[in-house]
Amino acid sequence: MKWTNLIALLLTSMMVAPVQADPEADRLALRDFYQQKFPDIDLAEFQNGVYAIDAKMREQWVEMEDFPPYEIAIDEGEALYNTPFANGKSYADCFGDDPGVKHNYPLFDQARGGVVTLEVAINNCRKENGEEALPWLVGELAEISSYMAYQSRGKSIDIKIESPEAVAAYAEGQQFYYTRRGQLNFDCSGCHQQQVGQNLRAERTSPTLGHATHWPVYRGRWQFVGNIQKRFQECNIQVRAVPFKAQSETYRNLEYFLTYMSNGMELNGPGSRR
Amino acid sequence: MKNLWILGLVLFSVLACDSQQKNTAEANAEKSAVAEVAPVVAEVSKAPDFVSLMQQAEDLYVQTETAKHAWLINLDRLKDARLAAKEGDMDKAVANAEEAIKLSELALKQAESEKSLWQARVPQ
Repeated sequence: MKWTNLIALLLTSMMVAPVQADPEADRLALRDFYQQKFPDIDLAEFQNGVYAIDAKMREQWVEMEDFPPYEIAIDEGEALYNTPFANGKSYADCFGDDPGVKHNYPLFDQARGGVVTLEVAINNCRKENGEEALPWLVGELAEISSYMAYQSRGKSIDIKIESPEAVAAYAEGQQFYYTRRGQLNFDCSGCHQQQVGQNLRAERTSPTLGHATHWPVYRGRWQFVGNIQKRFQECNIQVRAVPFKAQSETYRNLEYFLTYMSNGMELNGPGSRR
Repeated sequence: MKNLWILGLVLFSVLACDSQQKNTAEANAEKSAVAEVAPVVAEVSKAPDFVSLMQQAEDLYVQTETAKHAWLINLDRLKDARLAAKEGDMDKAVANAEEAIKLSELALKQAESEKSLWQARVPQ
């Protein structure tokens, strides 16, 4: 092959670059989608999930909030957060004086080369201070993140996607969200966008917009507080797909995408759901 | 003395007879055990086919996992196939392995088609 042909081939291959994801355009398009679907509902209301679109369920939820079932988790989480590690340091040495930092998570950590969720950050803090990592989905970790979520209430989600690697992680999460999987051949958007607000057996499907505002959640069917990745696993099982490991790269990227979709919305977690 | 010899002979023949009866009973029991095992042994002759079938089913399942499209039902079928083979029910084992293969093929088709189809669901 001549040099000129080789150079031409290289230039052509460089021009055929993969389509770049545009997170902000995606987020605005998603907001438009729900605005058109529910023109009478203020966009800020979507922070309340399904209770934004179902008046009767909202009534029950508001009553439940009088004695919120996640309250104990907040108290336990506060005690754990303020208990010093064996080396004398504490979570405050990792997160600063204000534990209300949930609005910044998940973040893309360039040094680690991946998405760091709040739960990963908590366990990283523990490991860096000589403590053992806590189990991902429920228990003490969910309690600590419940306390941190409570301290973050009222802050607006502020997820940043600033590097090509971060965009790639976002794009993988987005692809996962819209990809049908499992024996029932469902993708996340099938329930939460195309069929949003419809009845799925005794439940009403919640909108994607606002999905990330209220975690961790006390779910009636769980009878405990769990984090969003527990729900991811549950959703995958419901469509008869083999779920992924908690805090796997797949789920961290999914959480990154999903949280970015709610960027700018106020946090109101921890929450309670049926 | 002569009476003692006669008594000894009688005792020996009684014991010998008892021992023979025991041996016969054991032999019969063994025979019935073999009779029970025989179909299993016959079925195990199909084992080489099953082994390769099971290997194919497991390899395909790993491919679905790699593609992030593994289905829960496939785990059940693979487990049922292994269990049936262990219990000697090779027809059931083969049927489950074959079903696992078909399910994996469907999951892989899903993975392939979704590589492009997902984009149509993103709001524009």
